[in-house]
Amino acid sequence: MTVMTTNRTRPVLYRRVRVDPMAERRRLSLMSYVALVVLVPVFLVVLAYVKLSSDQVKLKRHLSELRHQFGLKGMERQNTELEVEMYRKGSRIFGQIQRLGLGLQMPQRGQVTRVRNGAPVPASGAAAEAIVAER
Amino acid sequence: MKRVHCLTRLGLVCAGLLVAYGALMVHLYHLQVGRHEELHGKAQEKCLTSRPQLGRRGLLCDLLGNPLAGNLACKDILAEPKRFNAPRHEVIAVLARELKVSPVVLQARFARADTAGDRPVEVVVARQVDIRVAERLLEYQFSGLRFGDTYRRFYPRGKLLANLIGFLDEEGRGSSGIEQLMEGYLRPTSGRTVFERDRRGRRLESGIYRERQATDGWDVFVTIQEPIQQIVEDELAAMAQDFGPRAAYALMLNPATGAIMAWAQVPTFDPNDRKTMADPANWQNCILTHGFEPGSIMKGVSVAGALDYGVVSPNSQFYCEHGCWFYGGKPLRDSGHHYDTMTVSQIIQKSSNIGTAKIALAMGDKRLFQVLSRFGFGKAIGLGFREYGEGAPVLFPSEATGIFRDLDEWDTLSVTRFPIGQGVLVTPLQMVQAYASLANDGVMMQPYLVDHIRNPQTGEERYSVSVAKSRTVRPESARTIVQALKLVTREGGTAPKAAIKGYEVAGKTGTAQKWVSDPGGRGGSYAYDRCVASFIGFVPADDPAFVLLVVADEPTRGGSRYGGIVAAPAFSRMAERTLRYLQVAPVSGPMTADMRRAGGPTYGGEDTASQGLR
Repeated sequence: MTVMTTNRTRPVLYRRVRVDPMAERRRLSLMSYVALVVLVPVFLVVLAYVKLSSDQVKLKRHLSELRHQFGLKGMERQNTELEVEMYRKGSRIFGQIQRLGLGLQMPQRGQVTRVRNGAPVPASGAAAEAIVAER
Repeated sequence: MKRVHCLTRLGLVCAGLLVAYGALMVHLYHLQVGRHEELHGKAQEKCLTSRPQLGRRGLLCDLLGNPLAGNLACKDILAEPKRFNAPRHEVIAVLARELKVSPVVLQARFARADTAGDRPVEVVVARQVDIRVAERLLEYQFSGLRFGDTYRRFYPRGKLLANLIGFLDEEGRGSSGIEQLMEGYLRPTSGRTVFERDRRGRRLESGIYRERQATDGWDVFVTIQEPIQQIVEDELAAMAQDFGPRAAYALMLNPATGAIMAWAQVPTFDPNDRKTMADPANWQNCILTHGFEPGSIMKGVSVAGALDYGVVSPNSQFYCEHGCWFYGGKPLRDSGHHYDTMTVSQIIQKSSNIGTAKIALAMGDKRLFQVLSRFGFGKAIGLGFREYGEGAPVLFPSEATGIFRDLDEWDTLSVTRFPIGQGVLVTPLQMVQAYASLANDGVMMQPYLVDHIRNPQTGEERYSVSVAKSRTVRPESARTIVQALKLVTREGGTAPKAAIKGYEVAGKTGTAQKWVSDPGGRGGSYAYDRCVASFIGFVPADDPAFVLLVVADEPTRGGSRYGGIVAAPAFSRMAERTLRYLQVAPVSGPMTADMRRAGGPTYGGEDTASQGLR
């Protein structure tokens, strides 16, 4: 609106300015909103990323440690299997049978019959007490 | 004027800068392009590291797959004392306690590292340490200790077959026996991993990573079955206990295929215990490397040649001179026996030296030379692995050839002494090969020791096959000599103690006096008190499951030194137990070819399927 004043000979032209006191607050509020909506999630994402990365590194180390342990146990198992063979040798077994007095005997002649794979099974009786398939 | 000076100075400065810049460019070019490879390499050295990958040495197994030699995973422990993060005496105390090493020894080792100035030095703390012990040490988290992966060769069967299996040297290479023979197959190839590392030495996931895979050695399966080997070793040890020989050995071979079935020796050693190897006599492989004068067991071969040439028949008669005969100015005796006229079969049965010498004379030296050459004396055999029997025989590095002189080196006595096993040096392997050809209708098979090999990574298998080497005598001649050899183990023969109930045994005894050189080294004589007692035979005689040689070198106890007393009973026990293990059906009487084809008669109602199981 234009107002003409007359207290001087020359008229003064001025504009009436409407000052909105809430605008600044709205802007701050908007900025806060933006910060809240954008920055905080970004921050959280970054935090999450850092946390996940850290966890991943920890997991990798743990995995590596587990792999190491697994390999180690595998080696221990193989070692044990080989050491067990030492106790499975014939001389030791027969020695233990004698020492412990188990009374086990070697099969008598004809007690064990070795047949070929796929051959018909012999009739029952002493001769067929045990059948060992040929390798 | 002033302006001109100013411009000149500016120009000079600019020119100077330009020259400097140009020089910089040239230098940069030199660094970036000219020395690129060198500098790039240096840079990579800083951030790249490599770790060796160990392959596994191949296993050694018997025919049934029982492991005879394997690998125990273990660790080598090395230390860089200057990097210890704990007081040295504490580290030493822990290491000494865990590794059971004297602290003084460790102190001395670590002191060596101190003498190297600022240069970092790594010293060996212990090699081939049990992995569980190494893990315990790791828990202490000492810096400056390094644990390297390695393997230790382990022989789970201990002394069993030790002389044939052999052992490794300090570098992990086979230095004797099969370990040496099959080194090319057993040895693994090592690999290497190269990667970019971080400050702590850990691998960078996104960095450079190169890997050359290690390959494991091939697993080797020998033709020997552990139970048979155990039987032969047990009985050989019993014989050694009874008669106290300086050495004794036994060798068993399948005449139809040439596969070695047992290989035993006394004295022997435990390859897991180096202390038992102090005496070389313990770990030497007598069967392969030692020649011996075979004595009377040579007669079977010589007479087979005479029969083959048609010079004699089993019933040809020879006068045996009442036990003493002079030929070439030297006496030849029949060991206290006073035989008159005997047939060829009786000469074998009674083991007459004079009769055999006369048969050889009838044959002539040229034919005798050809016969003994055909049977392989004087030549190495080669037991190494030949894939599907192809290629030349592969020799053991230490295999002896024996001594069998060329015909032009024979003297007057040779023709009478060589056929009775004097003046000829043979290896046990050669003698078994010769008898195996007699047992196999005159066909000599190539002996072999490795049944097959297997690649543990791919599962690929490669096999040996039986290869007929040559014909030594005609089948009829072989069968004729077998009939004569059967008489040896019957009543009236020299080795009734070699007989086995239910089976016919063909064989020959040997009692060879040992040649003792004079102290001056010139000449010598046969010693009456030092003998090699032996017995070689096969069973069942007409369809043999195996040929077995038992030798006692210089028996000192038991009251006898004759092959028929010392070696024959051991042969009988070994053969009887082996036949039982193989379930070879005994026969109640001589089994003809027709009976074999018909599959009977059998002893005690046993199943006939057990025939032909070898």
